[in-house]
Amino acid sequence: MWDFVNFVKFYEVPHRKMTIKEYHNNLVSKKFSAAEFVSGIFRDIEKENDYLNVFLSLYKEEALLKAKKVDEKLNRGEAIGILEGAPYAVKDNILIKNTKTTAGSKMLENYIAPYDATVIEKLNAEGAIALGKTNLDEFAMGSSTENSAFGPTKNPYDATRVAGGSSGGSAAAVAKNWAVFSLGSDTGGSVRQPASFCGVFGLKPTYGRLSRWGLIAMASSLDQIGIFANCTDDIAIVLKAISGKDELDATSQDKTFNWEGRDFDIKNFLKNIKIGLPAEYLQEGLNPEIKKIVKEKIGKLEQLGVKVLNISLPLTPYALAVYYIIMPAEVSSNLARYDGIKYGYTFSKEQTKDLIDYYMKTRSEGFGTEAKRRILLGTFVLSHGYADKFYLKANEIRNLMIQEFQEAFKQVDIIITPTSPTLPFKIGEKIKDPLSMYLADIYTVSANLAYIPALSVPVGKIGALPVGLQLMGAWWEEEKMLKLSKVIESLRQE
Amino acid sequence: MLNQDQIKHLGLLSRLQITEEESQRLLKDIEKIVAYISRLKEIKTQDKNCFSFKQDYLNVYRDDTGKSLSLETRQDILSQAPQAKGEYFKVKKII
Repeated sequence: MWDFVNFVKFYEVPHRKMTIKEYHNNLVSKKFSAAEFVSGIFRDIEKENDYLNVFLSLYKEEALLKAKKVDEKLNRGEAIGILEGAPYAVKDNILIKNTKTTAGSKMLENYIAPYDATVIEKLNAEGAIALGKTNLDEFAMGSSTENSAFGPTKNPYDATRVAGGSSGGSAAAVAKNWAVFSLGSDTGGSVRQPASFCGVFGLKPTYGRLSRWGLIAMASSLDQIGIFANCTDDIAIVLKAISGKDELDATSQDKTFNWEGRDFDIKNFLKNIKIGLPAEYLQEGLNPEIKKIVKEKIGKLEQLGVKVLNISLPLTPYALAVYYIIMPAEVSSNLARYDGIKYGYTFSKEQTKDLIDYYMKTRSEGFGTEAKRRILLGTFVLSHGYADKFYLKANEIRNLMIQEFQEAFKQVDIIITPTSPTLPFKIGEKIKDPLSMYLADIYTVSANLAYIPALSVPVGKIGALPVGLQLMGAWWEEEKMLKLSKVIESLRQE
Repeated sequence: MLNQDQIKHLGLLSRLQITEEESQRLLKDIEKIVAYISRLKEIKTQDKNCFSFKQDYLNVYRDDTGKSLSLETRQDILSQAPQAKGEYFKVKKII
């Protein structure tokens, strides 16, 4: 069998960003072929992936075959869809049938997915091309990708620093132009924070906007699949393709997203939109240079006529505590399935005494330290004598937070905050102190707790390090958020 | 609030084997985290109506009937099992 790759003209992948529309137009105008572009990406990946550790697995042959089919279609003069032939990366906690899906864990090191996640089925129907699976913190637990059983992902802007987490690999893939868009998952900020750290757009949709079928569950009332891309329009295009109700996910709602970045009356939009700036997100602990950039951007929006209100979200200082009760509780439940019986890691060293012994040894060897920590914490907050004080209390406060956001969204349309209180930190800096790592999520967890959509928009750099601005909207208001993001994009000096 | 025995007990409940050394480290970590999450007691919830927000999400129900999987799917699933026999997962003796 001929090695197809050797017969393809190697095309120098432009190191400028390529959006979905640009890629599509280039294919249609035959500026380059899908096979050339995709093989160029793999060539670049092969050079640097061992060093950056972005991808855990690659589908070179399948991707090139799919690219070839798209080229053949174009050569026959047939029309192609906007996502057809578009190369994308997938976080390795999202199932693609017949491929290894590890969740970044020894527990699933050799697990072969028996089905496609619904979002993958949808992207397959659009003709998009999956390039491979990206690195993540084990079972999506972490804010740096350092908890991966397969090593951390390095930040493309500074290899001594983290790419963020838990979807570090997916964020880095888009930042490196190794994918035109990618999928991640966001439970407490795991799409938005790495997007901020890697200088790309990252969306966590409204809870229920799309199906979680095929997403390896971490915390079921908080998880959402999210999107990384190079511009607002691309986020909208992918969201439109993957959103919608799925019978296989009872929490998905009948709210397909329908705006794919069409032009809109910007003047009218700016006249009517109201932005809220919550005091609690600008206090101690926030890097002052990040605060400066946030205020600058808001100042520019005000110059365009946007109304900016100072608001207060008094429960904000408690959000992380609520999260670190509810999330571990759900984790302890969702990770109970990893028992070495139906799939996954098994303890094979010596004879185990009995079934419980087998469970204990399998799970202790299969799970990393952070997973164990969270399972124990979750078990604790659900246990007799503590459940009322912690779990029940956290749920009551979660409801109060939802009410607080609903009140805020009566006054404003979009809430703006920094995405992260810090710049991308050094690899190894926070890994020894779990609580300091948890504090990285302090601005992002509220959106998951309140089920609201949130987007990180890249707004500049401090030195070489990217900074992200977070937009939050009311339930189902992704369109308003994305429109504001387009306005912010137009403010970029370049 | 917590001690090493409690950590080991939590380990038993969640089917995780915790070594002596691990239980010391985990105790320190978890104590610190529990101290942080305990700040929730500062909020009085007894007098607040925690369910007065507009609920958008509906509960979804279905009939309690099973769905038959194709032979291919069943085989895919069973092929992942460390030990299987025919259409059964093999487990250690329970009783």
